[in-house]
Amino acid sequence: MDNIFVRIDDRLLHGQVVISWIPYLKADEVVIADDEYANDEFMIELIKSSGPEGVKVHVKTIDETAAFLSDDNQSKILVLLRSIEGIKKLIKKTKISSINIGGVGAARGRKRYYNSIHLSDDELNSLKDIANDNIYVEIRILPKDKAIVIKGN
Amino acid sequence: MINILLVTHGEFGKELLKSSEMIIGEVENAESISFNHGDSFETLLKKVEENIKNLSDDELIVFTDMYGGSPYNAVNRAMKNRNFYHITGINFPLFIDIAIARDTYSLEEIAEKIIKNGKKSIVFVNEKFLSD
Repeated sequence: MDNIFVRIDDRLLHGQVVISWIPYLKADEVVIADDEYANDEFMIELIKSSGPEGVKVHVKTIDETAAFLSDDNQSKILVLLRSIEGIKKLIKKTKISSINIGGVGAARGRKRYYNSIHLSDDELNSLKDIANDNIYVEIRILPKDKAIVIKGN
Repeated sequence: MINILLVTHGEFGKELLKSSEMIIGEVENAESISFNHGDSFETLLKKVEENIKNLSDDELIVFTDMYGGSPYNAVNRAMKNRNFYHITGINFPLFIDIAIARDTYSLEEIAEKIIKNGKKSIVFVNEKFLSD
């Protein structure tokens, strides 16, 4: 499991991830787990073009991602999801030991929780439920930031 | 650690630092000198010299925004009797690359690899998609 790092970031592959996280994690592969984008040829091309040199970028549905992660895989994999809804689906299909929350923008119904992380009451409760299942849930925008750990109830 | 000095027209350098911090977090040992409308060249030169006088050449890298501009000219003047690295035409990705690389690479390596690579950071996007 140590080779898999799961991050929720609604901007998916962007500057912070490409410049700071991928080198920090020494990731070989990035999986964008997103049911909508995995079926959108234009988005697949766009996302793949924004990956750094030498890193393989996949765009997969949540189900495909679960299958991919369950395979005995030796490479370092960074999994990116846009939403907390997505992670709820993913952890039902495969075992995940930790989740990083890196970017959740402001939207109707959401309150600013920490820095650039905005959560609705439902989303915060979902994260607490996930933490209750012995999954480590942290907010950390950049690798060198201090982690804010979300604890279960 | 290698110190960074930015010398630019207006607040470009200060904002470049702030923008970089969105991507890589705090950028330490970095300063910016702004050359504003109405400032005299002599004052600018003095600020540059003041800023670098306590740093040796091998612990300093200076960036300016445009070849031939006043910040560039002032830094070139300050290079009299000195031999620090001066890179002009700085842009966002190149600046970030150097800010990160200075932890692990020597000045020579930065100059050779990263600055040469930096030229690749300007991409005609339409053409890239056409050729893929």
